[in-house]
Amino acid sequence: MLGMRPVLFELAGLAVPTHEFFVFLGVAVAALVFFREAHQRGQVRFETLVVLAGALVGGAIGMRLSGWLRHLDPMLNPSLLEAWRFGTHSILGGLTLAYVGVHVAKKLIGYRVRTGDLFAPAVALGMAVGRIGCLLTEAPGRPTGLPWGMHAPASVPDCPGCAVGAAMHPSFVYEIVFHLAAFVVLYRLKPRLRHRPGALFTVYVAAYAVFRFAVEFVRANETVWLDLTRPQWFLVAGMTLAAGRAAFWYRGARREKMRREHATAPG
Amino acid sequence: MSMPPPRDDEDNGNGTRDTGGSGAGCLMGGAGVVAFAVLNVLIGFAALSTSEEAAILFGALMLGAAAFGGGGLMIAVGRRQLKAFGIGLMIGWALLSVISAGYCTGLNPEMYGAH
Repeated sequence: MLGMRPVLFELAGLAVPTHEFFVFLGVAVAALVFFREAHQRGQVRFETLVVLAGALVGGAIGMRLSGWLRHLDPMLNPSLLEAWRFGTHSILGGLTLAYVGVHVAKKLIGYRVRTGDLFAPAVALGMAVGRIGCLLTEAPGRPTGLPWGMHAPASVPDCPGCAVGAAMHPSFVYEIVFHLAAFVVLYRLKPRLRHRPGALFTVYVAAYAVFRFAVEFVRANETVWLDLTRPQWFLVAGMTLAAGRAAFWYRGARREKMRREHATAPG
Repeated sequence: MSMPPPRDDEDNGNGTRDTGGSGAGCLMGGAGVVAFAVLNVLIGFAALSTSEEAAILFGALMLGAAAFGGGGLMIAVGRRQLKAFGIGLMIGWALLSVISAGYCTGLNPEMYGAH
């Protein structure tokens, strides 16, 4: 049985909450990787700091406001105040508004250099670390008969499987493994995609969207319509956008390849 | 002869390499984060000691004003190091909001009696 730890440790009499600690650690790790990427690409400059600030501010706000998407029926949306409370653990809301924050920051300072490729490996590793907090505090997943199913105490909130002592999918373990693998794959792809700015970011976002949609089938989130969860409905829109961007990138790559072939053709 | 590190060439002529002062800029950014954290502790304790929702809201507004108003002003009119400090204030606000689920910066509605 996985031992849940809502409080990680006490520091000078103050309880350090496990989930928030690992969120902070994930953000710190992501920032370090981001700066390392920026340094390797010669992009350590004031504008990069502004972009990072945009991502952090957007992410902080997104994690609180995403409760608006809690209900499909707009009439059932929580009030603004309730949305702040529900949005505590929303990764998708945080990532989406972090993306918006980056674009707002770049627009404000007139910075047009592509920065997505700096974020891709940073977010992957940061997510792997941050999800440890979810693993130690939240419902693991839906009941399963697989041999690696895990048990959790009945005291875990919003966990019907915990209450009945069922073995459950370790969905956060799946996600940690995915992000670690994505981090490795992104580093291997980096040299091959160096001349396609933004491609690394597109690959990561598309891969995470597909993975997250799939893993939601074994997570403990409530289904709202057609047996899909709120994150899955959010991802339907996201994957549509990602597919569009991938198609645009592929068209651009093909056009560039044809241009080069035409330029080097004899005669 | 050593070759310079490879770099992205998609600048569109807009990004200029900061060949000097980037280290100092990052240090000032870090100083901004620390400064906001200190400010947060001071204002937070003052607001929470009253246990009044109005005081907590006022404290949250003050912290937001310091981060985005003060930080924005530094970015708009300051020299490079001051700009970085202003960015650090905003990053400090974001980090403390994230790690405290909004409690440190007064964003969590449960601080205002919402249930």
